[in-house]
Amino acid sequence: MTDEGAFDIVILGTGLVESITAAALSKAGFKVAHIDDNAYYGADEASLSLEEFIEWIHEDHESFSAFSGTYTKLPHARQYSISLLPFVIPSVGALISALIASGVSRYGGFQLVERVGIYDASSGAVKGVPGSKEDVFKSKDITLVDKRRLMRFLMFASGEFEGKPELEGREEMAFGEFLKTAFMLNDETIAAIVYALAFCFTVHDSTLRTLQRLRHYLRSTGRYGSSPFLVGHYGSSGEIAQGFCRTAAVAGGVYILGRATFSITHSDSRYTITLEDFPEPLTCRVLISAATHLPSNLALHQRYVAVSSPVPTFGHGMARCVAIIDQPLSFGTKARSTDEVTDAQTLEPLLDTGILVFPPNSLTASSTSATALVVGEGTLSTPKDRWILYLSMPVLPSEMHSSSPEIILTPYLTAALKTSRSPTPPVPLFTTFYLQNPLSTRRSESESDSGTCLVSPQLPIVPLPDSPDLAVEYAEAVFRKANKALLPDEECAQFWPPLEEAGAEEEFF
Amino acid sequence: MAESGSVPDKSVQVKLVLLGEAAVGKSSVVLRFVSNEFQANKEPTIGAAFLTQKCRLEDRVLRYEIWDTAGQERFHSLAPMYYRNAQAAVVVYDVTKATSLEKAKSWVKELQRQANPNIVIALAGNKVDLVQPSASSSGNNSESEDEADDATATPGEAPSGESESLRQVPREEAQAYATEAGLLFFETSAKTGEGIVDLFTEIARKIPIEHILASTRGAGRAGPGANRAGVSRQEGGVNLEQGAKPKDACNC
Ligand SMILES: Nc1nc2c(ncn2[C@@H]2O[C@H](COP(=O)(O)OP(=O)(O)OP(=O)(O)O)[C@@H](O)[C@H]2O)c(=O)[nH]1
Ligand SMILES: [Mg+2]
Repeated sequence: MTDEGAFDIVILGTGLVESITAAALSKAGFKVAHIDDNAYYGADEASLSLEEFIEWIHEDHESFSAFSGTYTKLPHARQYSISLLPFVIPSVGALISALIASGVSRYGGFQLVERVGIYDASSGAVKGVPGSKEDVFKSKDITLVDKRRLMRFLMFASGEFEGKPELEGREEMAFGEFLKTAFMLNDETIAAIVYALAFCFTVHDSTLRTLQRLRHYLRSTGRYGSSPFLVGHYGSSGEIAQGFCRTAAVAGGVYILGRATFSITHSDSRYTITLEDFPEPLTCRVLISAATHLPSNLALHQRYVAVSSPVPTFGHGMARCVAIIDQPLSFGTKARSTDEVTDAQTLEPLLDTGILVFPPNSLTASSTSATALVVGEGTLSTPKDRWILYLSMPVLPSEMHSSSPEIILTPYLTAALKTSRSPTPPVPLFTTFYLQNPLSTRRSESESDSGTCLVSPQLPIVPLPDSPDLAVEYAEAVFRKANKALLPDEECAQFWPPLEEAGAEEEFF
Repeated sequence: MAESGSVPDKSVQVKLVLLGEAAVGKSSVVLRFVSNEFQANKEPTIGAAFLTQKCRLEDRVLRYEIWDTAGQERFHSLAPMYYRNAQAAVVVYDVTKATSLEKAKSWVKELQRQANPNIVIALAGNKVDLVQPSASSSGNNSESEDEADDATATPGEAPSGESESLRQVPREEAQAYATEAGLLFFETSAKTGEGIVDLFTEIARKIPIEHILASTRGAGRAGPGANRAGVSRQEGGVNLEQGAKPKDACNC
C-alpha cells in the first residue's frame, strides 16, 4: 500500500525546533512523519537517563567532542533525566505561549528557579541577585544612592527604552560601559546586572540587544512567582521536545525512532525515504531536516530556513560539565539579604533549583562568564537526595585547542561545590566534561523562497534563558516555509490554531 | 461522577498508558471507561490519543491521564515516550487471538526493563463477550469481583460450546502468566463493560500513591519544606495556564 507511506511532510530529527515544528504542522492538518535515528527523543536537546547518558558519551557526535571524566554508573540510574541542553525558561515568552497554545503544558510539569546568585571574586562569597524593585528595596547591601540609581535603571530596562535619550548613540556600546556612563552604577552592581540579570557572556555584549533580552526577563518576573525563570520536569529540554512530539502524534503524526535513514532520493517532486529495518519506504512532498541529519546527496535541493533575528556569534563553543552530587548546594542562600527576615526559621529550605553566575576573570583569566545550574528532586530529574549540577562556559575558538573543557571548568566546579553548607564540600559521584562545538557555518545564500527540502536552523550557543524561545521562533519560521511549499497559493495556517474544546474529554463523566 | 467539580489540584495524577497489538480493543476499553460508550466499528488509532478520567477510591480521587497508543507495528517506536513516566500500564490482548497474548508478553517485558520501576502493570484479556453465552444471566458477572488475586479462578463450567470455541487464550493460562510476572489480571469486555471499572479501580488501589507524593517532595515554589501536606506535584509545580497575566509595562 503506497498510500500508507505517503506523507505531506517528513521531518528528520526530533530536536526541539523540529519537534515544535512537527506539532504545529500536524495540528495544521498536514500528514507528518517524524523520524529520528536515535532510540530517544530530543536529538541534541534530549534528556537522558544516566545509563543512556553514559552510552551517549561513548558515541560519536557532530555537535559534541572532547569528553573526559569519571563515568561511574550509579544506583537508580533510570531516575536521572540529564539534559543535553540545560536551560531556564522565561515565564513570559514564545515557549510558554507555545506550550499553552498547543496544549503541551497539560502534560508537562514545571518548577520555579528558586535563586540566582553571583560569585564575588574579591570576597569569594556568593551574593543573591536582586531581580526586582522589591528585592532592591529590601537589600541591605546597597547604599541609598546606589538603590536610587539601580531602581532608575530597572525602570528604564523594563520599559520602552527604544529612542530614549539614555540609549541614543549607545546602542552598540559594550553593555557594562553603558551602565557606567548612562546610569553611573558602581562596578559590583554592573557585574550583577551584566552577568546575573542579563546573563551576558562577555563584557563586550552590545547594549541594545542586551537590553532587549533583559527586558524580556524582567517582564517575566511575577507571572508564576518571584523568579522570572522556570525549569521543566524530567530534564526539561528533552521532555519538552517529547511533549510536542506527543501533541504531533495526537494530531495524527507518525513517529519512527531508532531507525537510521538508508537513503533519500528525489523524483517527480516527491522525496522517497528508505529506512533501515523498515518495511516500506516513506514518501513526501516536503522534507524538513535538522542540519545534522541531512544526507549529503541532497545538498543541491536544500534550503536553509532563515530566521528574522540571527544571534551574533563569535565562533564560540561551550565547555560543559555535568556532575551528580549527594549534598545540596546553597549558592549563597544564607547570605541573601531578603532571607534575613525569615532568619527566625532555623531550618532554611534546601536549594532544589538555582543558578550561580561567575563573571569573567572570577577564578581564572577568562573573557567569558561561567554559569552553574543545579536541579534536584523537585524537578523529578534526580532520585531522592541527589542533585545534577550543570556548568557551562563559552570558549573562544583560540582556547578550544589549547585547553580542555575539564581544565577550563574544574575551578568553577570546585567553587560551586564549596557553596555546600556542610564543612566538607561534596565529592561528585559522577562527573563529565565535554565541548559543545561551535555552529557549523551555514551558507545563507542558499536561502530562497522556493524549495521543498528545508534545513531547520540550528540552535546557537546562547545564554541560559534564551534557547527555549529561540527554538519556538525557529520552528515558526520553518512552519511558515513548509506551509508555503505545500500550499503556495494559500494563506499560511495559524501557527497554533485555537485548542479544540480543550479538556472536553474531562466533561464526559 | 460527583467529583467532576472538585479542584483538579487536589487529586493525584496518575499517568497510564495502554499498550497491545492492533485491534485488541485498547481504544474501546478507554472509551468505555471514560464515557461508558462502545463503538462497534472503532477506527484504528493513528499516533496516539490523550484522555483524562477521574477515579474515586475510598477517601481519595485519582486523575488518570491516559495515553492510548496505536497498536500497529509501524507506530511502535512511539511508545517509549508514553511509558517512560507512566505510573500504570494496561497491556491488552484479545482472548480470541493467541498471538495477541504473545505481543502482550513482549510489551510486559519491555515495560519491566524500561519503565519506571514502580509501574503498576495490568494485563487485560479483552473481548471476553465473544466467548461467553450471550445471555447476560450467566454467572460470569460475579467473576470480576474476586478476580484480582484469585489464581484458581476457572472459566465457566459449562460455556456455550460455540462461543467458547472462539477462545484462543484460556483464562487460566493468562492468569498463570500474570501471577508469575507480577501483573494484575482481568478479563474485560469493552462491549458489555464487564471488568472495565474493576480494572481501573484495582490499578488505583495498587498505585503507590504515597510514593508518588513522596517523590514530589520539594516540588513547591516556596521550597521543599512547604510541600509536606501531600498534594499532587502539579500543585507544587507551576501551572502554566494559571499564572498571573504578564504585566505589560514595567515590573518595578
Ligand atoms: N466484541 C467486542 N469487540 C470489541 C471489544 N473491544 C473492541 N472491540 C472491537 O474491536 C475493534 C478494534 O477496537 P479498537 O478499540 O479500535 O482497538 P485498538 O486496540 O485501539 O486498535 P489500534 O488503535 O489499531 O491499536 C473495533 O471494531 C471494536 O469495536 C470488545 O470488548 N468486544
Ligand atoms: Mg486504538
